[in-house]
Amino acid sequence: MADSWSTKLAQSWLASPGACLAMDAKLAQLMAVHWGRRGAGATAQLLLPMRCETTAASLIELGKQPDAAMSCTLLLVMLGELLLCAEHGGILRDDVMVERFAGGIVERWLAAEALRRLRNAACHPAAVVTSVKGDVGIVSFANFLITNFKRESWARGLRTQPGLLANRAVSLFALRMVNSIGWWQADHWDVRFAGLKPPGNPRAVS
Amino acid sequence: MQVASPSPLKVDPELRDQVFGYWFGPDEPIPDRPIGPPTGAVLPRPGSSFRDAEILCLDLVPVENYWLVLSELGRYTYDHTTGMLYDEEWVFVPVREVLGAWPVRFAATYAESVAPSALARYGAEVSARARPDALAVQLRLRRITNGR
Repeated sequence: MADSWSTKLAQSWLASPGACLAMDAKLAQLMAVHWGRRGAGATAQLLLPMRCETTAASLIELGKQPDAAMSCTLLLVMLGELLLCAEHGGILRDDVMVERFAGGIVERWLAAEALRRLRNAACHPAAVVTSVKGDVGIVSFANFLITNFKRESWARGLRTQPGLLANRAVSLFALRMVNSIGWWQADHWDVRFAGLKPPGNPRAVS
Repeated sequence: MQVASPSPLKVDPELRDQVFGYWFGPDEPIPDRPIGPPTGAVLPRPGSSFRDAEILCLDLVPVENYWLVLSELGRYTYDHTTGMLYDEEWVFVPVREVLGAWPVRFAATYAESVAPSALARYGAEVSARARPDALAVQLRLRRITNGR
């Protein structure tokens, strides 16, 4: 099927080592401010607990294993958190970071909020609907998709079978959100993805 | 983020003339009958019809179940619009009520985007559902006959 993991990963900026290195350099530059580092102490290797370059390599390898979709999802939501939070420093637990990233643009808000809810769902696998308030947990993620991403019909199943979070469809969704957020941030940070052209024009036209 | 109503009056979540349907990606089988709720919607240009061989329409997306016009800023967010950016073949099948049959398939491609100032051609209420600072995505739907 064309909508396979390898096809979609190959379409994303994560498939480009140059793009990953460029994004890692920018992320390191942003994190260096928070950690008070400069010069030789401000490299991606020293400052980033996870890097785009190494994460992408892991995604390529893990993606070959049919049962590793949840591992791919976890890597993607954590990378998404790094992309969304590096500029200001913080945690993607609440929606402040999402609002800051969206800047009033609803399309950006949708992608970031979906990623945040998926992050919360994936990182809290024991959360149950009866004990969790607010936007933590698999049901919250599922409800968000049902009202905002109609094609993700698998979200309905998540409400009764949380084990479906480990399906490939979820990791494909996470990949799409991280790809979107990465392109938006590259545009915002003026990061050049050498040899890559954004699919379409992400800039607003006045 | 709350989607603000453009007026203090209660507004419908849907545009009056929007057409619901289902998006299918490359090689995705189209079932003999629709399964589940519609997965998308479009707004045909006034004066055109799904009975035409080709129509222009705006792509509509739900935000908290309130349907808005997709802007170019949002093309990365959805799988059909992302896929089309990579020249994937996506098919829109309107709900059975539109043509009295299922599945009537339309191949979707990007048409020239519409400037906010020109959105009125799609109806008076459309501007309130679209971004004022970005081009609106316009799709060309071509009816697929005899397998293509």
